[in-house]
Amino acid sequence: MPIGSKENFDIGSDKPSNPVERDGSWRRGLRRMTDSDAFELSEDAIDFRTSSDLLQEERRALRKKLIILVAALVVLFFLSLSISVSEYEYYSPLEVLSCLGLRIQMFFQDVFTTATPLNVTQAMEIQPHYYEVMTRFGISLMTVICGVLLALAGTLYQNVFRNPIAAPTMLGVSSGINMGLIALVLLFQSSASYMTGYRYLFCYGGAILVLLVVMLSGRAVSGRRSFSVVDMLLVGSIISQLLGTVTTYIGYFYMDDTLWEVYYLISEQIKVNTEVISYISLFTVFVVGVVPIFLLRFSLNAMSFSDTDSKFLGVNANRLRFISLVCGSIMVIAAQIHCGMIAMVSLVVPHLSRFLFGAEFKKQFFGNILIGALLLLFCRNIAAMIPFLEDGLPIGTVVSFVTMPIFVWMLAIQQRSWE
Amino acid sequence: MPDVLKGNDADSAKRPEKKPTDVFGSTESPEDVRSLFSKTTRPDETEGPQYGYSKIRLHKNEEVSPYAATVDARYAMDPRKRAIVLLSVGVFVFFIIAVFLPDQVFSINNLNISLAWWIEGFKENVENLTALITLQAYSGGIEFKVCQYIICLMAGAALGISGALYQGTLKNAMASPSTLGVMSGASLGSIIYILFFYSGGAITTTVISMEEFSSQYAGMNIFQYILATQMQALFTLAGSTIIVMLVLLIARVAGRGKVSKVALIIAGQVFTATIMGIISLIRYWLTYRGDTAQLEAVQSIATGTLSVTFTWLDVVLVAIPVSLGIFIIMRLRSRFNLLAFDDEEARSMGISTTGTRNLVIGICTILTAVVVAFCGTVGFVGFLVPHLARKLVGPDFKYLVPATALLGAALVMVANFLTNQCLNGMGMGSITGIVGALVFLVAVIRQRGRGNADWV
Repeated sequence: MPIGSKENFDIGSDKPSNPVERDGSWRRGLRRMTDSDAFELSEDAIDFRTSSDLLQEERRALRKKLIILVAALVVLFFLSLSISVSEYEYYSPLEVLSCLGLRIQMFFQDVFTTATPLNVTQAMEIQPHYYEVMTRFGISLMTVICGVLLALAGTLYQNVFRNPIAAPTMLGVSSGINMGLIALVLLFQSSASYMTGYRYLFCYGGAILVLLVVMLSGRAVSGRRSFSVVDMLLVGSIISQLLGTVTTYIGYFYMDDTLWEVYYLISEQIKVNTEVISYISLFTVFVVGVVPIFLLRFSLNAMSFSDTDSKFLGVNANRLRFISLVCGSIMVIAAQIHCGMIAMVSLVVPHLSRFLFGAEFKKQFFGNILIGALLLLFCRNIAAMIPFLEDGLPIGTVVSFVTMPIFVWMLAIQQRSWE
Repeated sequence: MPDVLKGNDADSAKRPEKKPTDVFGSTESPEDVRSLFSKTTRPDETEGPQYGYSKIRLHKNEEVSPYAATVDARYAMDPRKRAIVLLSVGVFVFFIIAVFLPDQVFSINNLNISLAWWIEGFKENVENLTALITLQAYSGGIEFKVCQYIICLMAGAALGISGALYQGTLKNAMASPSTLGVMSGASLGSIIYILFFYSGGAITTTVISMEEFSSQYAGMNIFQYILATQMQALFTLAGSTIIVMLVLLIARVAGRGKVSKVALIIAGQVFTATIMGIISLIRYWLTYRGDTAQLEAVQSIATGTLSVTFTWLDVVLVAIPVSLGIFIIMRLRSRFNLLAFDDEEARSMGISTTGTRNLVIGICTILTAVVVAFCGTVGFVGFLVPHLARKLVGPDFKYLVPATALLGAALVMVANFLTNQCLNGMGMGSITGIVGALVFLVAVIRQRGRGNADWV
């Protein structure tokens, strides 16, 4: 008996419930389609979608996810502006919007001269919380940038070392920052807290010095053979340990309490500092670190294969690994100086973005960046909202508390055996 | 038979006759057939990691080895076994030297490099050791030094073995005993003890008289005495074991009954980060409260070194679990080689993978926890020593386990020795890193270009 189309079987009508009698189909010699019919027909089914159609579908899905993430980031950023920096109070969105409007007005008044030029004092008379909101803007911007840097560095390290627990702390450039700070304090003694320009110079300089030493030792250790990544890792961990111990002992012998206070003061001030110099340094780091990775994002998958496979592909995997490590280290240095080292972000976010966007680096790149920014901004908001003693919660603690359930959830979704 | 094959034609007359060179050496005489069964190979023809058993070379047909008259290379000891024997001899000799030499030679406070002072100190040590060995009452404080070095020995061995086994089980070259969160659990346990049960300041050694001492602990039996004096160590032990069990539980629950090694490592790291966050919160809170005594104690825990004086009781308390664990591992060490394979292959070779894995993780956790409870967080030994030992003797656990034990013991003893000489014995956590780092750098630089850690 041939099968009738679904228009013949009208469920809403007051026909008899017997499906065969429901309309005149049985009389016309038609029957209802059953599951076995569908199974038989599926054998002859042809999927007319071409590869470009499938690619387009994939791209559309990716774009949808990215748009959702960007929207979430914008909303979270806007919400973060309404959380105060010092007092635990919240400003209404209207207030925040008018502060932003005032800032835009001040920005444009140099171009379009208005009758009444605005400056900060007048803005604060109009909006009493203007300065707070603008400070918070700077902090949130810094947090977003640091989240981007941390997440990207984490992905790069995990791809280079082909190890799911590779974190950027492994290469040990953070000890260089410590060394730079102690050098600054020992050189300038009590007046080190006034040297705002030299702070960044010393920290970045120390860290880049350590990076150079690690790279050169790694290359020396690998010998004439091509650059081996594991050697550099081991050498890097050794050098960081050495430096850390040497710094501790120098600190133990040559620093007294006043100098330690200066040291802690500087290390506090350097984080989330919204002066122009920190933006300049972050911009430099972006150009030097993130832009090469952005340009190379189509080739960076090749690092994850074994050495023989990448040779077949015609990509110089070793050069890519070297570039990734250098850029990743620079990103980590900047993130540590401006935000404090938060290894959890670098560990979790690559797993998350791999789960959401797939393992290819070009698909993962933007998702990684956005998820990292989102995570860090979210943790910063939570840390600012909880009135813990005077200074509030340290952001590293909040990050580890927030990422723990994310990790557990991720592990629960994946079905893995011991391998 | 065609002339070409017989070699009688014009072409083969032009070519010089060449004997085929054998891979295993010349086989010109029947005696040399034994070279086919020697354990050594030509290093030129091998590829991949060179583990030290390439150090013996067979001389080629043309050259004569300068040692041919003295040493027949075919009867040499297996280089891996030889390395272990040399290491054990070295450890023993260094122990003797470290105990006999006087302290504080290169200290920053007093540069006593004069020979007279050395000989004085040496004589004093000899007298004290004689008094100790002949069980006299007064031995001048040398027993603290002996106990310290014995504990360094055991701690180094325990950490080295647990590091090697963790790296083998988790199949990750970056694994170490602190991967599963033992160190952070230990810190948390100590800090809980300090917050709730302890009113004093940082742990220091004070000299009190025998009457005071015996009046404090009068009327206790041995278990109550241990409980009373080693409370912090017990809390540390409990803290680390509880945290590791939590990590295993979470990894198992997340994997819905199955434990994935990636899940285990990640859970351990997440837990470590969380606990470090909690500890920093506690430190902030204590700073806010201004409780300096407890704050000092917490700071000393968090930095990871303990300047504790060890007594014979500490030695016994460390020796029992450590020697038991090492004994079990030494008996089963060949079995752990099979863990390098996949689950199914290993099971087809005859071991129970889950049982062996549980045993390994349990014993290594106990070893590490005991060491951390008594010596503070010594983080670098468990990561570095297995890599070094693997460069010496190769990845076979039959040789790797003794080698890591001996190398770890040597490293920690050397570090302790240097701390005693140069600084005021500030504890072995920090300077172990320097010593291990330098040793590793030397080893790695000597081995550069030859078979790096491609097995990772």
